[in-house]
Amino acid sequence: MKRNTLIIAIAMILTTGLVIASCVSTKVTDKSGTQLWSENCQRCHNTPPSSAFTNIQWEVINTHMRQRAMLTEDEIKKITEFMQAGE
Amino acid sequence: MKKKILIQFAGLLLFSATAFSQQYNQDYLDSLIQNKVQPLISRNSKFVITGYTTAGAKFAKDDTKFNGFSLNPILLWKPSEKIFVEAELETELEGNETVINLEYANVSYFVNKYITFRAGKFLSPYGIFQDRLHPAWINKLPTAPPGYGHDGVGPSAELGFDIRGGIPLGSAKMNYSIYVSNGPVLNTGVDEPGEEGMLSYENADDNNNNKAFGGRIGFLPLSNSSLEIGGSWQLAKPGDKGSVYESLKTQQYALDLTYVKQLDFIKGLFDVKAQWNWVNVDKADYIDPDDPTGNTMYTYDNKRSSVFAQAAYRPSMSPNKFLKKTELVFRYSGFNPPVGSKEPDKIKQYAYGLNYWINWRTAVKLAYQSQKNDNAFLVQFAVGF
Repeated sequence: MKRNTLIIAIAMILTTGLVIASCVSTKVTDKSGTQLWSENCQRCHNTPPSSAFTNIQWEVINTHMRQRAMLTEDEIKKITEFMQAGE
Repeated sequence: MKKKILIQFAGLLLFSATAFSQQYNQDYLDSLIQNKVQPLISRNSKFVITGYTTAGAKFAKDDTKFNGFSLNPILLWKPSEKIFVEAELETELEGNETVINLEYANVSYFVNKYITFRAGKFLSPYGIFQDRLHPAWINKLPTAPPGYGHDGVGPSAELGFDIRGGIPLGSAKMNYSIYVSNGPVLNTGVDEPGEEGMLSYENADDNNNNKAFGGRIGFLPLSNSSLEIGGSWQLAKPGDKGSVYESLKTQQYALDLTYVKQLDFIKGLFDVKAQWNWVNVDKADYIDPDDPTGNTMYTYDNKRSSVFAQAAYRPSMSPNKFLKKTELVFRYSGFNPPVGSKEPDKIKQYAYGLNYWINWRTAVKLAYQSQKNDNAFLVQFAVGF
């Protein structure tokens, strides 16, 4: 039990350090579709390429993601436009 | 010569007739598509079938087999800008039987930018594993941690409604989901001796008039959204109406942590996920399953918990094409049954995985899973489509 607590404590300290090291401040509402795509998708799964779906499919898939990942309307609009642009 | 002219004339006539016929058909088809089919195409084209499928194998001392065959089609439909429908069917083999479960089926209404109303059957917003990570093409290991599943430590799916959404807070943001559902049912052990005191979830029939109230609040304090900390709860009365268990209460809590970031100094993606679950049910007397007469009652402090902490590293910035598709995973999981209950002993499990991502949603997973008297080498092929 003590060993597991120690492992979890070390992991949390390491994570905190990494978090502090990776801090850059940008307002969420100012983010581009590219930035939102790269930050949000990977929180749960691998980041999909724009070629994974057609434009209309992206509209449906991202509506699904808006609901499931609890993203705002603005965030999902920007991500969808980025995916549909096929960049 | 005359014959040649006649053949040419006949050919021209035939060509003209065909061309006219094609023109007529094309006009007719264009008009048909424009007037009749296009509206249907527009509507139906916002219908997507996606999902995932798995196949696997387990190699253990006394239990070596091919297993884990499943097909989970997901239907997504967006009939209008404000309405969205999603449903997933889980088709899998249990023994020799094909079992089909309705994983979720619900309708969402987007009230405004920050509020979504959802009704139907939905995955419990209780921590992150069940709601976000359990699909095989997302889960980085072939198995779920102990304490997850349809009768795990904490809810898996709800029948009811919730409101959910995300809210920007300057450079940080938060998300929320608050729901009311039929809630859990207390297993009294009458039909399943040894499982008395456990809760079952995903109940289409409500065993009492009480409704479960629960939710999850997530906070992403960093501007790059790499860190998320969440807290979940569910409060309910799980006992059957009219039974001695009717007034019992249950309080369920969970904490979760997510950190995912591509870090230059390790040339890759670092992914940490963790979740702690606690399920408390008021103390009650149950039939002792060890007494074959069924006349002895026993009681215990009905508190159980589970935990998992997982770390993964993928050298996504490596110049080597093979290496950048590989991923190393480690997961520690634990399950603590109530002290004094007749349930199996506590579990400590360690899993070490090596994945190869063929594409963003298709992986071959190799893992070694170790726990007391149950070590196994696992292989899984997970394909998202």
